[in-house]
Amino acid sequence: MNPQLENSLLIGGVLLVFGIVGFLTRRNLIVMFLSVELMLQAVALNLIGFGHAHCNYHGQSFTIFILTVAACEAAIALMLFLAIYHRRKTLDVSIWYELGEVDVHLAEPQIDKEAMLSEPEPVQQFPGLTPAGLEPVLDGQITSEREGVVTRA
Amino acid sequence: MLIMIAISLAQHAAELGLPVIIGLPILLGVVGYLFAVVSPFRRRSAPASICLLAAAICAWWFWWRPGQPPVESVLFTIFAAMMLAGGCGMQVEANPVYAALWFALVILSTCGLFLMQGAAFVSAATLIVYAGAIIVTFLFVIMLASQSGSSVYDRRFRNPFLSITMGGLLLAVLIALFKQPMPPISREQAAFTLSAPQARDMDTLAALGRSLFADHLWSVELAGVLLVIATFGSILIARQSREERG
Repeated sequence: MNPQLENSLLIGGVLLVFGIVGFLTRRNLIVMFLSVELMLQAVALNLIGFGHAHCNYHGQSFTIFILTVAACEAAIALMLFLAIYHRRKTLDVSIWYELGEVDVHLAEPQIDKEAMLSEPEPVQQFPGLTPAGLEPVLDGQITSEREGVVTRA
Repeated sequence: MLIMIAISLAQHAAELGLPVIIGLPILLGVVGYLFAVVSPFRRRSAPASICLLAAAICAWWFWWRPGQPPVESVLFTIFAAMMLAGGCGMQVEANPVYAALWFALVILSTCGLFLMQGAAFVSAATLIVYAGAIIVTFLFVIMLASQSGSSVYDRRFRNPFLSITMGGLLLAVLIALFKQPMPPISREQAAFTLSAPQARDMDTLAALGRSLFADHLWSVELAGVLLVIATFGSILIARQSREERG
């Protein structure tokens, strides 16, 4: 086989597996989404390699479409994540276990006792966005929002 | 000890055949990844980095053949090492901000690999769209939606044993498939209908444009529609969630 094609297939395969493992193991929604983007990059690498081996431009065209779809995906998914965060104040996927139907008995969600017992890591401060503008005046009634949500971990 | 065994195995790799060539780096990689992720070892990063480094060196040793063109193989090694380091660091890193930055490293080195395969425009476009737009948006969202520092769910992983073992097996199968002899690419497959590459325009933007707007015209139109729909959709979702909050 063409050694260049083989190289890009190998590297693409390893990157794809990193993406899959990350998607399965991580619990932060944003990092899971980044893992999906990693898988898309792996596929793009393979497409470019095949296009180069076949001496035509279909691989590159497909990669441009992948880029388009990834941009759309990122826009919508990040909006959804923000909405989820405002509703539940966490980005943990394991609180969405209860999306399943009531009468279907899934595995019990794991509760990390070790994490509760172990001492917390030192808190790092990162720059946040300061709120800007005036606080909007609400007309008397404040819709109740579920704050203080139980996080399982 | 482990390193000695690895070195002696590497010296006899040619006689040991494909299972060892594929299996040894993957095994080392799986062990290193588990060391990096599973909680009792997580604070001590020395065994994880030793195992991962050994896996990388082992894989490079098996991959390297003396007859290769030197510049290309050195460049490929550098970009591939950067890319795999970025991918691994992204999955091991607890903090989502750093994970996004590792992902940026992956994108940069992927663009280098694209460039090596004569895809200059795609490389530039990927760099601009991913590193310029998507990662910045990610960082904004992480800063909007994060507690101070890394939280518990960033530090604890779901089912690491099962997923990583599965990933190693999948990788082994994939590489074994790539090592199978493939039929050579025939001329009929290489030439294509509307935008057959011409001798003078190899690797230029004009040829890519001809392929996009001749072979894939409908897809270009569909991609435009998709972008418009995604814009409307994200604006709608943002407004809805704001109204819900009151």
